[in-house]
Amino acid sequence: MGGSVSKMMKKIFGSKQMRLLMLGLDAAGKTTILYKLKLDSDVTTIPTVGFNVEKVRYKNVEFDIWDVGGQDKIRPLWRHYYSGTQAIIFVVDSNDRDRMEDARKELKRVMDEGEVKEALLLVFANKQDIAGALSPQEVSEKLELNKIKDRVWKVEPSCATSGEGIFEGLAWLSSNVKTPSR
Amino acid sequence: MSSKMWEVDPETRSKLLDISKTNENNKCVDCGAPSPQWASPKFGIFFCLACSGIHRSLGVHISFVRSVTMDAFKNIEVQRMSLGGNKPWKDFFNNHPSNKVMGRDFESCTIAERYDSEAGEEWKERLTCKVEGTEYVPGAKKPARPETGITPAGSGRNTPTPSNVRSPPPQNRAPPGQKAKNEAYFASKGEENASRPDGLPPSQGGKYGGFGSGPPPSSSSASGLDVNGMPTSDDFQRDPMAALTKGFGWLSSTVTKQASTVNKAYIQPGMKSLAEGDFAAQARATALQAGTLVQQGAKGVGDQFNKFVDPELSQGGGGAASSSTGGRAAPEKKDFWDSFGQDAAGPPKEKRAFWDDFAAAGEAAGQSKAAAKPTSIGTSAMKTGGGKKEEGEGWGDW
Repeated sequence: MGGSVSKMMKKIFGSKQMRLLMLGLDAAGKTTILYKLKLDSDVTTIPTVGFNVEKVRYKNVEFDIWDVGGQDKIRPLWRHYYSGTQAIIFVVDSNDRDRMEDARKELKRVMDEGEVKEALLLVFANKQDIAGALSPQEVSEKLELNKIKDRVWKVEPSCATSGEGIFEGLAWLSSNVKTPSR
Repeated sequence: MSSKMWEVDPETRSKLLDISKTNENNKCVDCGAPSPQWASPKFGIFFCLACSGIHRSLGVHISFVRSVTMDAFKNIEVQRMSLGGNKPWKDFFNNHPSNKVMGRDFESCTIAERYDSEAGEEWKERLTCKVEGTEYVPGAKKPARPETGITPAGSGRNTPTPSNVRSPPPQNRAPPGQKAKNEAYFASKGEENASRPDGLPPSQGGKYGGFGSGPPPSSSSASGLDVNGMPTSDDFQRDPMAALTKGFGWLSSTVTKQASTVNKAYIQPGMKSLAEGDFAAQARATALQAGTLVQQGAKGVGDQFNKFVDPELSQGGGGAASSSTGGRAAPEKKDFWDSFGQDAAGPPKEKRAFWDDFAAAGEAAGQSKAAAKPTSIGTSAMKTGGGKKEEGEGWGDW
């Protein structure tokens, strides 16, 4: 009861809430992006065994960002985080040419899940600072994003360590999110 | 499927377990911590969780990190693990001429210095040769990745030392003023980015610019028209003539914006000759020019234009109108113009009637004032579009 009142108040005073789920292969930069947003610092992360979750406020949107580990054998755990997710952030290591195909398969698997049917898709073509990284266009081709139907998506080049592109991605998310269904 | 993913391939598992007992693989290669659970198949070495983070930060072209327990190893990777080893790698590094020249050894180097090094590259190549059973030829580098090992200076990557970091990122430590700082920081990043050149990749100082599908279909399209100075359907109902004029205003301003010279070169001369006669032919030619320009220049207005031109078409040919909102904008617009062209086949009789009307209108306008002429042309052209069915014919002729 009290919860619903506070939700009403939130609606009235215009503070949007958004639940984001950050996925991607291991070492793509998910955790680095999360802590760049949260702490504005370039932390050296360790592989995420399990997950990290942080609240990040940007403009008038409060983002709940879930960052789930990407090792091969813990990817099946991703689905436990789908419920209530308004946007999927799929992080790709643009420098990791050998595993683009893996990334494509994993992304497709996620996109085929009914629970995230309504979710926006933001792809960070990360690690753009490395010479020889694939361009966002190339990443989008390799991931076959043009085959995605019935979903709003965007590719954003980014460099998690410097913060470039991350802000643009969040801004896009906040302006495209539908009013929370909850 | 998922249950299969959970199963660690027992053969790989036992092989790795065996390998981890040899070559000092039971201690982290970088810090000496016991029972390392992470590995770099590129080097054939084992290290601990904390050091794995630093390896990952070097980029996959230098060191590619796998978890012994949570990642699948390819056969070739297992081979590299067995033929490499912590101790052989350390010895190789310490005996490598390049390091002797620099007077450094494994212990005195940071992790980045150890792996992003000449010795590291050679070790990896030698390991590849061992796995493939070929002879190592110095200098016979594989040309696969010319950029290997090159990280631009000032790339923003920190080069961590073995002694720092190591702990999971601190949580909830942001001070109260952090949010404001963050926003200011990101805003400054945005400004910085705005000033970068468009054509270059970001790694060469170019602009970070994303792309994607359009925003979801929304009711804001009407206001979108207003923003562009396009008349809305309400306008048509209230005062068709005013709306048409307004429509031309939008068209001409678009054309002017995209190619102001063309206005002078084509449309105005066109107007003059219009005043002299042969209105229909001239008008068609002129409209064709303008239409082409709009098509080429005014990206993004395509779908709005579509609605403006024919509400029915935008519903019927939903593929055109709605997909430029839902999906990839540019190719769809093409579809729109194509399909528009196909719709064209219609009774020529009506067309003729229309163009006659048009000519009459043009004549009237021609008598009044030269300045007023562009308006009348565009308007009439738009009228063909704005009307219900005949516009298909009018435009289709292009």
